[in-house]
Amino acid sequence: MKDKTSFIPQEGEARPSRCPDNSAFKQQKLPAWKPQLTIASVLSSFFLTGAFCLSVGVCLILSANSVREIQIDYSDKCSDCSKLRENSSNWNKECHCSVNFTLKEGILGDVFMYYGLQNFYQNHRRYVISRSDAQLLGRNVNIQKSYCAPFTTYRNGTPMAPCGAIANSMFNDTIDLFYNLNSSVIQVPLLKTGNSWWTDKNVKFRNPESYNLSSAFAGTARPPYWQKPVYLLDEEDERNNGYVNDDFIIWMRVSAFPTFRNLYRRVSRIRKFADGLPAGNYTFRISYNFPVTKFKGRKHVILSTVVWSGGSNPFLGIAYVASGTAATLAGFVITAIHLKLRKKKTYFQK
Amino acid sequence: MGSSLFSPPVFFADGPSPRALAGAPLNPALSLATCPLQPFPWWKFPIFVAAQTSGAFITAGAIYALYYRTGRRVEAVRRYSNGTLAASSPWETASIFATCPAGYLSFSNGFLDQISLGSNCGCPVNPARDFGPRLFPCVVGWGAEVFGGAGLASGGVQRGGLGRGADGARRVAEEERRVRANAREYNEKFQYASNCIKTSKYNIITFLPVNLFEQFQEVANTYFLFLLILQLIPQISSLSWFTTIVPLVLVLTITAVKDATDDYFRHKSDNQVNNRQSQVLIGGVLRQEQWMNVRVGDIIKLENNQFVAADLLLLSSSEPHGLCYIETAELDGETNMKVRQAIPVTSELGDTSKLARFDGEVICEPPNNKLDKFGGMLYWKENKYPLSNQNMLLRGCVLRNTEWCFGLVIFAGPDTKLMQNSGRTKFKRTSIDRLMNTLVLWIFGFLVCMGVILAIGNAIWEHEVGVCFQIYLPWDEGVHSAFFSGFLSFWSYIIILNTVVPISLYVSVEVIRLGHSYFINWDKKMYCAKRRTPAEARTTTLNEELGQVEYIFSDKTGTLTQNIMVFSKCSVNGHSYGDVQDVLGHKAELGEKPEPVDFSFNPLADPRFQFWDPSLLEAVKLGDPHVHEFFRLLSLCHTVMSEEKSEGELYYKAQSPDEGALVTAARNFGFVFRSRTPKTITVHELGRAITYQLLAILDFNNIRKRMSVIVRSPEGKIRLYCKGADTILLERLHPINQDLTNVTTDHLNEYAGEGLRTLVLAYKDLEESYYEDWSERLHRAGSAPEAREDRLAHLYDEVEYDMMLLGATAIEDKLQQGVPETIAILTLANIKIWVLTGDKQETAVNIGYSCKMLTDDMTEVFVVTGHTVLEVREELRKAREKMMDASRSMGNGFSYQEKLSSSKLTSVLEAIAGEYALVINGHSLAHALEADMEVEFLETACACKAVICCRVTPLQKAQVVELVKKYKKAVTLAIGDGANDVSMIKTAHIGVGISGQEGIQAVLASDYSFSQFKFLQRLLLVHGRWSYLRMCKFLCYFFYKNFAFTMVHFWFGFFCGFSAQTVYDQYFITLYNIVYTSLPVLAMGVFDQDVPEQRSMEYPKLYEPGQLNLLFNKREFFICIAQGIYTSVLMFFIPYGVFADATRDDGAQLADYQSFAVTVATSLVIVVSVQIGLDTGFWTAINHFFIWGSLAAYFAILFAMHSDGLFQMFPNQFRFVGNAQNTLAQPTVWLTIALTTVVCIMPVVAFRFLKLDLKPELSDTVRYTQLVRKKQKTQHRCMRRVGRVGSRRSGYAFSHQEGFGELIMSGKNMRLSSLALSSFAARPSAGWIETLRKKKGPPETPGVSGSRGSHDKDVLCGWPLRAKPSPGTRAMLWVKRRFAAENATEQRCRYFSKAQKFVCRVKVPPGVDDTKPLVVSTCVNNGAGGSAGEDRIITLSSVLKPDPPLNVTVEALEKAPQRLRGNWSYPSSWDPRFYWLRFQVRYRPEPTQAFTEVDQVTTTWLDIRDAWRGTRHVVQVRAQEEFGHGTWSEWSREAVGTPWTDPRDLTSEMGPFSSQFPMEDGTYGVTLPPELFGEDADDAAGGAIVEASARSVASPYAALVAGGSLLLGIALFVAIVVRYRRTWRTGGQRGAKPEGEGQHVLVPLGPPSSPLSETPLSQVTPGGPGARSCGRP
Repeated sequence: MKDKTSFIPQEGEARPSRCPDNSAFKQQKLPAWKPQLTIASVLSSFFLTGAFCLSVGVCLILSANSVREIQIDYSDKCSDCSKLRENSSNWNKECHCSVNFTLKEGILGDVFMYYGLQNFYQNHRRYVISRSDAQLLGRNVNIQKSYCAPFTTYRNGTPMAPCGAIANSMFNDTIDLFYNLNSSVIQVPLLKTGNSWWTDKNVKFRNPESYNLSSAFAGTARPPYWQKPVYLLDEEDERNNGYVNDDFIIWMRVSAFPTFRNLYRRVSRIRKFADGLPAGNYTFRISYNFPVTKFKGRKHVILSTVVWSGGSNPFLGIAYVASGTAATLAGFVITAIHLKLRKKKTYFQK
Repeated sequence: MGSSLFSPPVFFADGPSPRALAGAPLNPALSLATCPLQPFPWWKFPIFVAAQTSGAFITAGAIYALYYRTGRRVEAVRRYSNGTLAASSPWETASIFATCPAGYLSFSNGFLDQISLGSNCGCPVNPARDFGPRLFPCVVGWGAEVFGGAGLASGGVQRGGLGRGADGARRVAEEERRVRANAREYNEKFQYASNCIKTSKYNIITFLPVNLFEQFQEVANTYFLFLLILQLIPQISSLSWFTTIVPLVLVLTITAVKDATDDYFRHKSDNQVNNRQSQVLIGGVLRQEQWMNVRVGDIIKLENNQFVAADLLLLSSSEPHGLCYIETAELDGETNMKVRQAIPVTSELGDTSKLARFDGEVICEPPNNKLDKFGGMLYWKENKYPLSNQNMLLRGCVLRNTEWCFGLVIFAGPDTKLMQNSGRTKFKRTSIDRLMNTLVLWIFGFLVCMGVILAIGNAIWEHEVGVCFQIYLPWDEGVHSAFFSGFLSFWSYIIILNTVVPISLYVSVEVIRLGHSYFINWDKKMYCAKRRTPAEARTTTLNEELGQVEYIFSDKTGTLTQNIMVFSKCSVNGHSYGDVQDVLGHKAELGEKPEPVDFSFNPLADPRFQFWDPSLLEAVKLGDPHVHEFFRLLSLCHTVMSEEKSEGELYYKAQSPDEGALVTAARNFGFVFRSRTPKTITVHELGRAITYQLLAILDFNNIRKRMSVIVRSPEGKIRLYCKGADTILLERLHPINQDLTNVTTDHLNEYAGEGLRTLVLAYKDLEESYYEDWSERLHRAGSAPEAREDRLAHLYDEVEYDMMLLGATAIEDKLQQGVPETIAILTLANIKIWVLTGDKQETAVNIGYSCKMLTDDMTEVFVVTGHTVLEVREELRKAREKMMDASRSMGNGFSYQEKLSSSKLTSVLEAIAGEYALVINGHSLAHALEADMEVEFLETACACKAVICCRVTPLQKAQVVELVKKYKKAVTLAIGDGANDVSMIKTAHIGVGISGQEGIQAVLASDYSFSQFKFLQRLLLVHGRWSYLRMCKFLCYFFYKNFAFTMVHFWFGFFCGFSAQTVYDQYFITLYNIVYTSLPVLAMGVFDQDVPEQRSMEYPKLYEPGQLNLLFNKREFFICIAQGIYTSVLMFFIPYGVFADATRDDGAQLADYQSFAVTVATSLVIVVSVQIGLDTGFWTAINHFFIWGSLAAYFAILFAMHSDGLFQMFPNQFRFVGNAQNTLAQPTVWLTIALTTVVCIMPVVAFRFLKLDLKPELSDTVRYTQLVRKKQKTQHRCMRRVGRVGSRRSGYAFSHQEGFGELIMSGKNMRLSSLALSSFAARPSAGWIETLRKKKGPPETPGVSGSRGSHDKDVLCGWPLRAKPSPGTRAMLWVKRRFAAENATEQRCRYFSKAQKFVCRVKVPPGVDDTKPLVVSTCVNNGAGGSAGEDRIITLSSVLKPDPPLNVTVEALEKAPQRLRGNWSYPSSWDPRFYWLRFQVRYRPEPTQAFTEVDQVTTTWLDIRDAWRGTRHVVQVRAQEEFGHGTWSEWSREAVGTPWTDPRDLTSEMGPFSSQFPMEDGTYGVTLPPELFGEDADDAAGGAIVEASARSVASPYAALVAGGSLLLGIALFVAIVVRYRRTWRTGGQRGAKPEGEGQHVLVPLGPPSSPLSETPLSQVTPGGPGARSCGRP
C-alpha cells in the first residue's frame, strides 16, 4: 500500500516547501510608526499652529500697511475717448485725456505703475488657448493648426503675427506720468523694460531670426486691432521690440481672474525721483486706445510700492490672524471638552 | 411586464437644441443617416449622440428613482424580482429600462436582427433609446449582463469557465453516444470531442482584440472611451486628449497584463494536463500517447496510482473478477476506496491481443454531469450487456490497489463528467462593490447637475457678458446663441469634472484586493505544516467582505472534525479504561499528557496508535478473560480487509473509519487481525495465530444498527459476536446482565458526555444444533425469491438475542485543531454559526457539544424532527413560544404586547434573552424550506444561538444559505471540504474550502481555501477585518481627494465665464490620479492596520463595525464628499483672496493664470498628502516612501514640465515654462499654501480628536489602551480546555453504508496470496514483566491561590489552614517564570490567624508579561518536618482581584421618588492610570432579600431608576478590571439610602448615608486585604508601596497662548458645542443605562468557563461569558 505517499501528487515533481516566507513584509509585521491623536499632540499642534498663524498674520498686516497705493479709475474720466472708441471706425484717430491727482506725502521707494482692467475675461477658456507659443518663439509654424482662430489669418491668407485673441486684444493705451512742480511739468522717468519674468523674456518669447526685425516679420500682418505691426512696438529699443516687447509679454501672461492689474512701468529712480515720488501734483496723460465700455469693463491706473510679501493685499494677513485665533480657540475648546469628559470618566478618582 | 409600459419617456434629450436637431429627432441612427446629407455637419454627430444617449440615461434614472423609495427599505423593483437584479431570468427586471435580447438569442443574431429588420425584440433601431437606458441599470446593479443578453453573458462565463460555451454551440446536442472499440474511423464520424482540454481564453493573436472587447464591456472603460471621443470635438474639448487617454491606456494595460498572466497560467496547466502520458492500445500494441491524443473508442491501459485520463468503460483488470479499486477524491471528495467491476464478458480480456480484437460497440447516454449515474449498453458478438456506473472509471479518479486495468474511452476531454461538473464560477460581487456602483451613479448624477448648473451659468454669462465681449473673443464658428454655447459648455464641463468618477478607482480597488489576497496566501499562521498547504485566496475580489460576515455555514465532517476516529476509551466488564492519567494516578486534564502506553511488546502493533491508560494493557497481560474476549470480538467482528505487503506490515482497509479504529485498537492490544478468507479469519492472539472459521456475517444496516459475525473457534465452539448501537443492543441482552448493564450504561453516559461515539459489544454462544438449524433457514431465506430482505432481517433478529454484554467502546471523532476555541471567538465576534451536515442527528449534536456550539448552559435545545408540514410548523411554533414565554417571564419591567404581528416577530425574537439552540432534521428542513414556512423557520433559527441541520442534502445546504442571504441581507460564508458542500460554497457570498484529505472539489469551487477550520478566525478577524477597514479608508479618501481636486473647477467656473477653463495645468490633471496621489493611498489600502493582529483576536467585538457596515456607507460617503467640497472651497477661495489684487515682491502681477494654477495644484497636493498622512495609521517604510516620494515626484515633475528644454521641443504643449521657479520663489505663495493646509486640515484634526475622545470606537479604545500599556505590556489571552460533563447520549456512530459483508463472504475480493496464512511467531518483549509503579498520593499540600489588587501591585498568594500551625512553622514561597531558565525568587510567608491563612507577597519579577505563566512553589516546615506544595501555575492577569470599591454612598435625587444615586470611588489600591475598573452594582429594597444587579458600569456612580418609593435601599458595588481579567472583587460594604420623598407626605431626615471603608493600618491599607488584620498587624514587613498619587490633569499648554477671540473661532466653538451638546446630554444618563456605555465595554475573550471549574479564584459571575474570569490553569 502506498498510504503514506498518497498525499503526494502523482506528477512526481519535487515539491519545494510551500510554506510562506517568514518575512516581515509577507507576515504584515513591518515595523511601523503608529501615530495616534493624543491630547498632548493635538493640543500642541493646535496651539503651535495658532501661535504661528497669529505671528505670521501680524507680520503680514504690519508690512501690508506700509504699502502705499494709489488707484485711479480713468474709464469715466476719459468718457469722451471711450465714446470715440466705441465706434470701431475711428480706430486710427488718436485720443488723449489727462487725469490729475495729488500726493500729500511722497511715495518712497520703488514705485510701480500698473494698469488695471475690470471685467476683462482673460481667463476664458477660448481666450486662454488662443495663441501659438511656437509662433511667439519665433518659429515659422503653420498657425492654422493652432487655436488662434479666428485671429489666424486675414481673408487673403496673410498670417497674423502674433496670432490669436490674446495678442489681438493687447492693451494699447499709453500712459505717461507728469509731475507738476511749480507749474512746470516734469515727465516722470519710467522704465519700460525689466518688468517681465526673466524666463518669459529670454526663453518663452523670441523674435524670428533675421537680419532685422521688419524683415523677420515680412509676410505677416499685424493683428486687426493693433495700430502698428509687432516690430514697431518699441522702436527705440531693439531688445524690447517684436515679440520680446515687455508690454506684450506681460499682456500675454493671462490673468487668472477677470479683474486684474498688469505691471506697466516702473518709476526710474533718478534725479528728483531718486527716493520715489515726492509729494505734489501729478498728471496721467493717457493716450486712450483700448475700448472697454462695450463689455462694461473699467480701466485703472495704479501706483504702488511693494514689500516682501508683495503689494498691498490685506487678505492674507487677516486670514492668518483669523485662522490663528481659530486654532487657539479650538485648542481651548478641545481642552475644555476633554477635561469635562475626563472629569466624568475619573469621577472620584482624586 | 412589457417594456413599452415603462419605457423611458424620451423628451429630455430633445430639449436643448431644437433648432439644430430639427432633422434628427432623438435617434443617433437617424442622426448618422442625416450626416452624409447636408446640412448636418459631421462634427456635430457625436454631440448629438452624446446628448441623446445622456438624455435617455437621465430619464432611465428618473424611472429608477420612481421605483426606488428611499424612505422605505423596500424597492419595488427588487420586490418584484425577489431581490435579484437579473437581465435574463423569468423575473428579469432590466427590461424596465431597456429591452434585452431573450436568452435564446445570441448577441450577433440579435445585432443583425436589430440592424436589419427591426422589432421582434421590442426595441426599435435606436441606439440612444437603447444604450442610454441600458447604461443606467448596468451602473445601478444589473451589471454588464444587460448589455449582452445571452450572447455576452456566455462570453462572460467563458472568462471564468471552460470555453465550453462555444463548443456547445458548435455541435448539435448529442442524443446518444455510439462508441466502437478500436475503430477510430468509425468513431470519427460523430466528431466527438477529443481528450484535449482548453481552459484558456486567448492565444497570441486573439489576445488583443478579445481582451479589449471584454474590457470595453466594463461600463467604466466605456464611459472613459466616451469621454475621450467627446474630447476630440474641438468645440467641447476642455482638456487635451491625453488627460483621458493616458489613464485609460494605463488601466487597460494593467488589466490586460493581469489577464494575460492568468491566461498564461491556464495555458500552462492545460499543457501539463494534456501532455500527461497514457498507454493506448493502437493496432494491437501499447503505445505511449499524450492525453490530448487519446480518442473516443481507444482502449487504454492504466497502472496503479495513475490518474484516469478520460471516462472509461472498465474492460478488465489485474484483480480477480475484473474488480478494480479507485479513489474518487477529486471527483466527489470521498477518500474511501470504491470498487468498480468490469462486466463478466470483458473481464477475461486480459492481454493486449485479445483486447485488440475487441470490437464491441457501446451505445450510451450523451455527456452529462451526473457523477453517480451512467446508462448504456454494450453490443458485442450479437449480445447486449447493460452497463451501469459500476463499470465506469471516471476522469479524475486514481487507480488504487490494482496493478493495471484496461478501459475503453467513452467520453473524452470536455465531455467527461469531471469537466462537465466543473461548474462555471459564478461571479461574486461584494456589497462594497454594489455600494460603490450606486455611489458612482450618484456621483454621475451629481456631475450632471453640476454640468447643468454651469451650463446655465454659461448661457447666462454669454448672454449678458459674452455677447459684449465678442469684440475680443468672438464665438466659435457654429455657435450662434448663448443657449447653444451653454449646451456645449455642459459637455465641456462633463469632461473636466469627470475626475469625480476617477478611472483609477476600479483599478486601484483591484490592486488593493490583490495585495490583500497575497497577504492571505503569505500568511504563515494559516499554513498547515502537516498537510503542507498554505491558505489560498482563490478569488481576489471578495476580501473586504470577509470583514462583514454575519453567518457561517459549516460542514461537519472534515471541517469541524478530522474524520479520524480514535479508539479512546472502553468499558470492559464494568471497568472503565482509557482515562488519561498522570504519574500520580490522578485523572489528568488533557493537554498534559504523560507518556503513552508502550506497545513495543507487540511487533505487529501499529506505531501510530496511542493509548494512555496502562491498566488496560496490564489487564490484557494479566489474562483477564473479559478483556481478552473484548478484544477478540473487536478483531473478529468487522468487515475490514487486511493487506500485508511484507512481514508484519499490516494495512487495514476499512470502509468506515470507526471500524478501522476498533480493529487497530485490538491489533495493538495483542489481538491482531491478520487476514481473512471467505470462510476464515486469522487472528494473532497475543502472539498465537488462531484461525477462526467464519460462519456468517450479519451485516450492518441502518435499521439494525448493529453487526454480528458467527465464528467457530478452533476448539469448535460456535459464538456470535455482535457490536452495535447502545440503544439497540442493550435491549437485546440477557437479563442476567442487569448489574453489568447498569455500570456500563453509566460509562456510556460518561463517554457520550465527552462527545465520544459509543458502541456496545456483546457475544452469545450458540449451540451446534441450533446453529445448524438457523443456518439452514438462513440459506433458504437467502435464496428466497421475494421478501428476501425481510426474511433475513427476521432471522438475524432471532439469533441476536439474549446476548451477553462484554463492554462498550468509545471512539473519539477527532475534532480539528482549535475548533471549540475558534467557534467561541467567532461567536463573540457576533458571527452566527450554523452547522449543516449530512451526518446523523446524534453525531451532529455530539459534535455540536464537543465544539462548544451547544452547551449545557443553554436554556433549551429544540429538536425539530417532524415528518409532515404540520408537525414541523407546530414544532417551530412551540419553540418560538417557549422562547417568547421565557423572555416575557424575565420581566424586564415591561411586558411584551400580546398581539404580535408577524412583522414584529423579528424584533421580539431578536431581543430574546437566554440561549437556545435548534437542531433540525433533513426531512423537516425540506418542509421548513417551503415558501410559506421559510420565514417562520428563519426567524426561529435566527433567534437561536446555534443551529444544527443534520441529514441535509447538498441542495438543502444551498437552500438554507440562500434563505439567509435572501431575508437577512447579511453576508454569509460557507465552509466545507467535500463535494457535497460545493453547492453551498457557491451559493454563499464567500465560499471557503478546506483543502485537506478529502478531494479538491470544494476547494475548486471555493473563494478561499486552507486546511484547518481554525484558520477561519484568522481569515475573518484579522485578514477580513483589515481588508474591510483598509478598503473603507481607501474609498473614503479616494472620493475625498477627487472631490477636493475636481470641485475647484466648479468654483472657478464662476470666475471664468463658465467657459470650462481648468484651474490646473493639463498635465497635473493627467497625473494627479495616477502619479501624485495614487501610491500613498494604495499603500494605506494595502498596509494599514488599526490594531495589531493579536488584538483583533483578543477583542472579537472589533469585528462588529464590519458587520454593521459602519466604516463605509452612504453616510460616511457624504461626509467624505462634504470634506472634499470643503477642501475645494478653501483650495480655491484662499488663493483667490490672496491673489486677486496682489503683486509679486518684484512688483509684477501675481495673479496670472499660470501662477494661480501652480499655487492651487501645489497646495492641493500638499493638503491631500497631509490628509493621507492623517488617515494612515500604520506608517511602514513603504508608506513613508510613497508619501514623501509622491510629494517629491510632484515637485520633480512640476519643475521638469516647466523646464526650458521641454518647452523648446514642444512649445505649444508645455506652456508653463519657467512658471514653477517664478511662482514658488514667492513667499506669498508659500504662505498661501501653508494657510490653505492649516485651514483644510485643522478642523479635520479637531473633529477626529473629539470623536475619538467623546465617542471612541472600540478600536480606538484598544489602541489607546495599548499606548498606555506600552511599558508593561499585557496580553489577555487565556483559553482553557474544559471537558464537558454532560448528559448526552451518543448514538451508534457508524458508517451509514452497507458494509463489505456480502463481498467478503462471496470471496470475490480475495487474492490467492492472502489466502495463504503466514506464520508468525510472537516475540515477547521485555516490557511484559514490567509492572508499573503507582505513586501514592502526596500528603496534603498547601493549595496556593493568588490574588492581586491592581496591575501595579504584588500578588498575594495564600492558602488557608484548618488548624493553627504550630509555633516555628515557616512557610516559604518561590516564584519564577515558567519556561524560563532563571532562579526563583524566594519569599517568606506569614500566618494571619484571623483569616487562618498563610499569606505571602509575591514580588512580580520585573518585565513579566501579564499573560505569561508564573510557577509558584511552596514549602512549609516546622521542627517536625516539612511538606512541599504542588507547583501552581498562575498568570498575573488571571489572579487580578481588585479591592472592593470605597466610599459607597447612596443619595436621593431631588424630586425623583423612584430614583437613587449610588456613588462610590475607586479602591485606593487601584491605580486608574493604566486600567479602569468596571463595576457591578446590586441593590435591593430593605424588606426584600433579592438583589437586582446592574452590570457593566464604568462610571463611579449609577442612577437606580426603579427604587421603591420611600423604602430604604441597600446598595453594594464590586469591581473588576475593565476587560474582565481576573475576578470580581468582594462586594463593598452595604450603603443604605432612601429615595426622595415628597416633603408633603412625610418629613424624613434621611441624609446620604455613607459607609466608609475602614482603614485600620496605614501600611497594609493599600496592599493587603483588610480581613487579614487581627493581632498580626504588627508584623509589618511591607514592601514598596505604590501610592495612587493625585495627578493634575490640567494641560500645560493651557497657559501657552493667550489669543483674542475672532469670528472664526467663535463659529468653530459654536459648531462644536452644537455638535456635541447631544453627546454631553446623553453622557449624563450613561450610568443608569448600562448599554449606554456600550462602546467602552470591551468584551475580551472570556472563555466559556465550566460551571464545574473548581478553582477558588474564579467565581461564577452573572455577567455573561465576557465577564467570566479565567481560573488557574
